[in-house]
Amino acid sequence: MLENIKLTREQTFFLIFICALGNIVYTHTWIDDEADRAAWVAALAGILLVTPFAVWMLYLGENYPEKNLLDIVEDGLGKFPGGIVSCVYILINVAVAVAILNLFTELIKSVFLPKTPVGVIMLILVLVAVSIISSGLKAFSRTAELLTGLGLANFFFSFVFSVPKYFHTEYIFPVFDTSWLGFIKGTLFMTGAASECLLLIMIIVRFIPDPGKHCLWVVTGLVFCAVVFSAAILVIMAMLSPELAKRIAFGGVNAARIIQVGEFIRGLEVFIFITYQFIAIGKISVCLYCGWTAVQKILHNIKPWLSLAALSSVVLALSFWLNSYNKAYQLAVVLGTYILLPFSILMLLICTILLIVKKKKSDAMDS
Amino acid sequence: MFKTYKNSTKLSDSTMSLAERQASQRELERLKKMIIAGSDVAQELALVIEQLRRSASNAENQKVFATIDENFSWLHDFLGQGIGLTVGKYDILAGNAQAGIAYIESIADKQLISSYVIEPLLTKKVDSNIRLDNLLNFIQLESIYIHTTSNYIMTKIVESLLNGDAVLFINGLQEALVIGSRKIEKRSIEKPDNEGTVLASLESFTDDLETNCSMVIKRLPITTLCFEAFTQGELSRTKLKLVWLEGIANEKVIEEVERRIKKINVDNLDGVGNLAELIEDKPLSIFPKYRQTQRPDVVAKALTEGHFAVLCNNSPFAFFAPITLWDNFKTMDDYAERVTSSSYLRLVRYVAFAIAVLVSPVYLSFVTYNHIVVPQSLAVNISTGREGVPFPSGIELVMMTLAISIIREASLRIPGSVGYFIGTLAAVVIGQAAVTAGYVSTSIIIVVAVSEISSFAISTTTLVYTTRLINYFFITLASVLGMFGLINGMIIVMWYVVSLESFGVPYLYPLIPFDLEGMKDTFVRLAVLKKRLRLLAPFNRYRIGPEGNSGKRE
Repeated sequence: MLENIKLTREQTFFLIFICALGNIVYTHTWIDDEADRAAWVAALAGILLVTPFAVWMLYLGENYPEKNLLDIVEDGLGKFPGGIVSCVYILINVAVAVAILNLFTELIKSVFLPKTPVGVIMLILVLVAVSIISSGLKAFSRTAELLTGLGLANFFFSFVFSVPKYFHTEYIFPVFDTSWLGFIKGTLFMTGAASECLLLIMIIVRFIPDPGKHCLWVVTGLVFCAVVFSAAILVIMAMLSPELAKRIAFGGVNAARIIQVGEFIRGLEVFIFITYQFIAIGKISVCLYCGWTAVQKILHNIKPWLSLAALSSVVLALSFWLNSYNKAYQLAVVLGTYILLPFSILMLLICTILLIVKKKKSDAMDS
Repeated sequence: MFKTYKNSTKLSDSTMSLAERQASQRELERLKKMIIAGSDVAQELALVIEQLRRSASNAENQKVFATIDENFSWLHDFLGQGIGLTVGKYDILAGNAQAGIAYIESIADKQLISSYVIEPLLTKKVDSNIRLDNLLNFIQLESIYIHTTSNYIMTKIVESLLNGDAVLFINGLQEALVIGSRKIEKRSIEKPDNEGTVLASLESFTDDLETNCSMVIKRLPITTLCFEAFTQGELSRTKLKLVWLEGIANEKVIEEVERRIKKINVDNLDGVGNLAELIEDKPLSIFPKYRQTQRPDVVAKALTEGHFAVLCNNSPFAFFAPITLWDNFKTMDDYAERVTSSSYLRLVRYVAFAIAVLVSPVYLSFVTYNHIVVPQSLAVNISTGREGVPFPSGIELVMMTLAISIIREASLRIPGSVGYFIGTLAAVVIGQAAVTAGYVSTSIIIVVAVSEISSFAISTTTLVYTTRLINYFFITLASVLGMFGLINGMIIVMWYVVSLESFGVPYLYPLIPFDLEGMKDTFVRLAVLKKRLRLLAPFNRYRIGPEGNSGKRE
């Protein structure tokens, strides 16, 4: 389904926001051990470090109007190498989707629906995500805009109740009571994990009007994501203590669980869960959309609905096969540490070299 | 086909006996005769159809006869006796000519015909030398001082008679005078029952198109107010008018609406709801993409904002579009009240919408799946109330929601005060009895009643039914999957809503896509908007502003 739309500032902002969140909602505990009380600072710095790569992609998009990074690679390297790059891109997106599907399903299973079969939950999540992206990027980006806004408001409104009673400053200070090495490792992991958003930018760069000029749309999205996510880690740590925060999964839900104000304000994990679900569905939709775009590129836009069905079936089948929180967590960590950022940098390098070659050729032609 | 038949005959030759072959030959002969006879019948039928077609075309082009009696006789044949055609012959203009007047009694104004047509014709004198072909001119100019036109095609004259006009034939003239004598039965302008307000205007539209137009013109007496008239419906011949403000409404949208109205091809167009359904983008959508209103002030305000409106004969409602979801929460009182009060009231309507849609599924998911949210004392009360109830909470909730909808529908249909009585009886007495008998729990009654009442706080009736449908969808999901199902349902509804557009305007605009100026009059009303919305009036955005800027095109 080739679309000819232009994203607005808000749509770009929220798409980047939801895309950078993704698996780090669960894997942030990986850095809590290394960065300790400075984990929230590491998260802030880590996500901010993605910004230069995002801007680099927008700069490339400026030089190749109406093309995404996969198009640029295919045009420059030829169909076969371009196809291989697209296949790798699809695999990475499928892996990210499988990881988040398993992580979120386990959250539902352990906290809310212990007796419901995992397969049913996964199937529903994938069906909702497929419905959302089936109507195209315009409707999807508008949905992301709405869901992210509501999810954020819900998250912080729920934690407002924690401030007077459950917010322990002694759990936060001293902030930098950690080693530099640990802090740097944590920061770099966060950069790698938040690089999930680069996978989306590779595709939507085509839909951002004048991407070089509007790079602030993406930058503000990333900055906002960094601030919000580090604030969320800070709140969780301040409520649970850094020691507990790094040992338990679903920090937000578990932190909300302990809040009780009077007789009537309790069980806030049910409300926090709404935000987790918005993020999970948003992220699965993004992965499916990116993968679908690449599949269509390889198949030359033949039977798009069939390719979407096939792709979502693959995601679903692999998720059934994995069916484990621990394995999914490990997969997310591996993706964040070794795959996402290196792949993005490789794409950027290839496209940049192709751009330089193209410019040299055109200079030679002119002279 | 023929080859197949031949092959099958050959095959049968080898397998059939002689007697069977002869029988089949006879059958074949009989079939051939029948085909020949059939073709004769078809030829005869074609001739009859041709004759009928000719006579119909003759009737269509039939000119006015020279004698009054022939005209009267033709009209009687054409219209039949039962319609109430009244005819009369008079020596007019002091005996210088003989005239015949025909009209349909039930729809023509007899008093007007008698006083302003027959009486002047009988009393007026004319020069005896006047030529017959000048007579109609003389009558038009000197005798009858009401709107008249001349016509010489009988079918056109019949159309005029069916519209309530009277027709004047003159002996010896093959032309007739059509006299505007339509008897207009009009309801007086009443209060808007469905859209009551406290401080705003108390006028509502009537069933008469011209009266409705006059109410809009009264509010916008400017030259840029444009009306375009259409007549649609093969049988109903419904008159409708498209209204917009030139220079403010998006001309592309207006052109598209004109095109869609012209494309309508139905036999009966019975109101604006029917019309809107025929011209909107996704008629199966559960969300209204146009707003029906019976208030002329709402229409006038909408026109100044860049919407277009459609008024329809025989309908006390108008509709305007493009609209957004938020338009369903605005009332004219919002603009008559103080900013703070109107903002508060508007927020109350949004909260009511959320309660109408969410309270029962949230209750269901809390009591069946996510008990942790419910405080202990409340949980004890709920479970005590449910003691002995034979149905699961989900079934109980669906049954009660359906029961309330039935009671509401029934009380609407039962006439007058009996309706109120039956409504009260059903809701209070039966509800109380059901609780006492242990069929339903008290908390379910409270939840369903709160949900139902909240839905009526929304300004437009169409959205009330939408809330009910969404409510059923959410209850189903919450009963199957608890909060997880409910949130999935919310995501699906939100995705569905954001993908809707009303004549090219996104349904959640100005929230999505975001427009700060528009947000000042969306969830709350902060001030009188200085600019019109970008997507509604893209070429003329200033409402108020720097001196001399108002009303200017950008």
